[in-house]
Amino acid sequence: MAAPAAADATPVGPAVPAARPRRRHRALRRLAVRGPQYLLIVLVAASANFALPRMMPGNPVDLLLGEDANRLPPETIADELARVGLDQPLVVQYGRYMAGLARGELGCSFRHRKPVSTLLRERLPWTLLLVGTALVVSTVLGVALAALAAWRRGRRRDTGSIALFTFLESTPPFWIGLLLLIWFAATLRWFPLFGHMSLDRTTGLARVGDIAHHLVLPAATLVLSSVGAVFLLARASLLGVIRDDYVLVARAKGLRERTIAVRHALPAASLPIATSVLLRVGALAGGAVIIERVFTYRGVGSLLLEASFGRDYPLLQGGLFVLTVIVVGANLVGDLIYPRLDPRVQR
Amino acid sequence: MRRKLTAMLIGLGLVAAACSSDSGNGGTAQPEPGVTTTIPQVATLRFATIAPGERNLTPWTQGSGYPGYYMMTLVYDTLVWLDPDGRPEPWLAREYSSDPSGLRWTVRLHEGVTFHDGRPLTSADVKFTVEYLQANPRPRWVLTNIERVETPDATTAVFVLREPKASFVLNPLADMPIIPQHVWSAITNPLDEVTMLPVGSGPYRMVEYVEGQVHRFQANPDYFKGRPIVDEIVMPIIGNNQAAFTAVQSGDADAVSVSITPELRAQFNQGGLKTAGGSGYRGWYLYMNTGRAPFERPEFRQAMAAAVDSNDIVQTALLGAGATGSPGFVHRSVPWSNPATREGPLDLNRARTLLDGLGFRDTNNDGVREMDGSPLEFELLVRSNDPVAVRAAEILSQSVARVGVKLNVAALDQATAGNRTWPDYQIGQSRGDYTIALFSWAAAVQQDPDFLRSLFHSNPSVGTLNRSGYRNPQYDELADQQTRAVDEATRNRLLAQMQEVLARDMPAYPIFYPDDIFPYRESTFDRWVYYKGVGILNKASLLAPR
Repeated sequence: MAAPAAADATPVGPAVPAARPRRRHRALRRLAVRGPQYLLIVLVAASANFALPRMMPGNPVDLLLGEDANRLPPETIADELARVGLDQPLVVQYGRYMAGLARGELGCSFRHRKPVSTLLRERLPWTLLLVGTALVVSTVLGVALAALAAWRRGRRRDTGSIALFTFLESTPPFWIGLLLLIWFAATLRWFPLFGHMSLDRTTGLARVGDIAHHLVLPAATLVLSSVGAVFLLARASLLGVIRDDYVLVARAKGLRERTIAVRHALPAASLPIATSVLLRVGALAGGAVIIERVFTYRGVGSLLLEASFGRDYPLLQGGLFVLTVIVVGANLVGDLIYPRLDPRVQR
Repeated sequence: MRRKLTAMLIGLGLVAAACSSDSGNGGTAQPEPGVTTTIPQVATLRFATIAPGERNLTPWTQGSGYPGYYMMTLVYDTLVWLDPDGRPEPWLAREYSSDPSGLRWTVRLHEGVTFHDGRPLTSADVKFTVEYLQANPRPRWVLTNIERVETPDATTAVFVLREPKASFVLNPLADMPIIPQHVWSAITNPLDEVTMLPVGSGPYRMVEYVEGQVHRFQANPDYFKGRPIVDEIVMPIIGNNQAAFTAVQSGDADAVSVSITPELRAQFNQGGLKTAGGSGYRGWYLYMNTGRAPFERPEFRQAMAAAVDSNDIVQTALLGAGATGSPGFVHRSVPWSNPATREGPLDLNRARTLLDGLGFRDTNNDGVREMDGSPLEFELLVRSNDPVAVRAAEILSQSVARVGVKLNVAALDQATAGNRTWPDYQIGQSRGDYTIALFSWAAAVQQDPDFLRSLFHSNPSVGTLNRSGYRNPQYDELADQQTRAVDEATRNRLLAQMQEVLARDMPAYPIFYPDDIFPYRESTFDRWVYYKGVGILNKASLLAPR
């Protein structure tokens, strides 16, 4: 296994100059402990990505050879299955897949007849743009609204917003997406109906504007469907600190309410919020799969959805693997920076 | 706005609503014969497609029957082409004929036809196409029956067959795209990534293809049948039906490749929108596995068919926008359908008599009959991605419950349902892992009579589509005679007999055919020609009548 190798990679001794050597040291030690754990998670996930598509009934023969492939001579079908390696026992296929992953190869998509890595390179930036935008906007918006609500806790507006966000939280994202599509794209014609950019090529600033224009509705859908969770968490977290002594002291000193909220309460309450941001990457990536379908957004999500309908094993394996790595990576980052945010967890 | 929203909700199947079900289909107003009209050129037509799998539209990379095949045949020509009613007419061929034995087919090509790159299309390309397809077969064109192609001169190709094949005109002549030898001779594996834009001789060149986003076509000004009416066709790929319909409503698209559901029809016949279409040939068939008791008994299959109220299904699940199927399997609009086997056998009393006769009685009074002590209760398989079919399956199970047979609807995803009926592509060796199922067949099944042979022949290498495991030597004999009968009258007589056998044995019972209702924007382009049973995107819509 690769775990010892990761442990060996940890530099020993005071190789780190000056600036807070002990803290840097601690982060590396933490990585040495956590790294192998996360690697194991990735390996298990990669195996699941291999197994799950194959556990679905159905097979990719139609995808490989065309509709009603059984009209072809049996030897033609056998040749094609052999060509893509589906004639081998599952154990052999699994071995090849894992060996490929170790070499950084993801194989060739059945449908597109292109390397999976090429397809993902084309599409991943769009999904990252969509998920990244939604992550930032929903966090900022959720925290800001939560601060307002917590400060006015118990008043009518606070109660109203809790009801609203609980409603948003429990509404299926595709439904929100369709409503936005009907109102803002079809009826009001403010935004495009489909796609990640216009079919007519644009360049320079116009292109940036065009991409942003196409991004608004899908990103807004993701924001609306995830801002509720941020809001509820941030509000609870803020209410926890508002009752603390130092806030009382700050009030006694005669500080303005806004100063108390921004300078004192928010930083203390930001810990769980910050962690939740990274943990939400997974949920957002999952939501993006459906949202991309609704808006025909050309990201990894819509690609994987098509791949699952056609049983495009290499594409499903590869795409899910890359998404897994991204989500696990986000968690690892959260794990590593948390001690910096909260000295209490440092031991 | 409000109405549009309601339409969306209905489309999503979240609201059940009934609206009027008038079955008026807008079509294209054809000019009066004898009146010459100049047809104005259309600069750009935006035709939204739902299909993500058409790739770069070569015969080896295109995916769907409609619109994919018809997109591909804008680029490539066939030797013969079907008119909108499904009748063959010469295309690249000036004329074609068979000798009396039916073993030699002679095709004479038009002079001066060129591919998009200016190179001439000759009989050598025809020969090359056949040999290339034999080396790299596609399900649609299995050409094992062609022994060789002779090319006595540049415009004559002679197909020499191993066995006579009456529908040779329909397939391959009217179906196989002719590819340029000078391009394809360098391509060893056509299934592998072919990034080139296809080179054909058709009315359009594909000038751009972006995977998952768009196909873009430009008219071929030198087309041998005249310049097409539309200069540029842009086909954006839209990920879901709802967004595509909305795009037509909002003006982002001028037409779309999918048929709307009947409840939306009123929405799309107003405000500059129209619909074109007719009775579709894509049908839903009740398949009964003849390898499973009690379905191996023709009387039991008869009883099932007699208990199904197809008309109720069309009225309820399709709001009347559909046709009921014929027990003889062939759609009633098809020229060679047998008038004697068109009417459904609905007769509950007959169904009960048949079941009584088989000794299946309800001894414990629970409303379900028993066979040797175990209840007649089966799983009705249907694929879940078609809401209309799932609704139909529910109504169907209520239908047969009235005669004491219980069906539990199992809606599965398409690949799973497919795998239950085509286990590992071993048709004939095994009869599928299902007892009774509601399947759909594409329109093509009703267009070429030879399908009747592949659908029910007991020899696995002939009956490649035999999903019900039906075995009847008499039927096999008729089907084999029919496929060799080059004389049309003889053939039609044999086809009629085959339909009678099917109506009697009932290995599969066509329940309904949803109407095709294709919405389009009248102001951009109003010349859509509906290909009977199939769709509106085709050469006939885009070429001026001559």
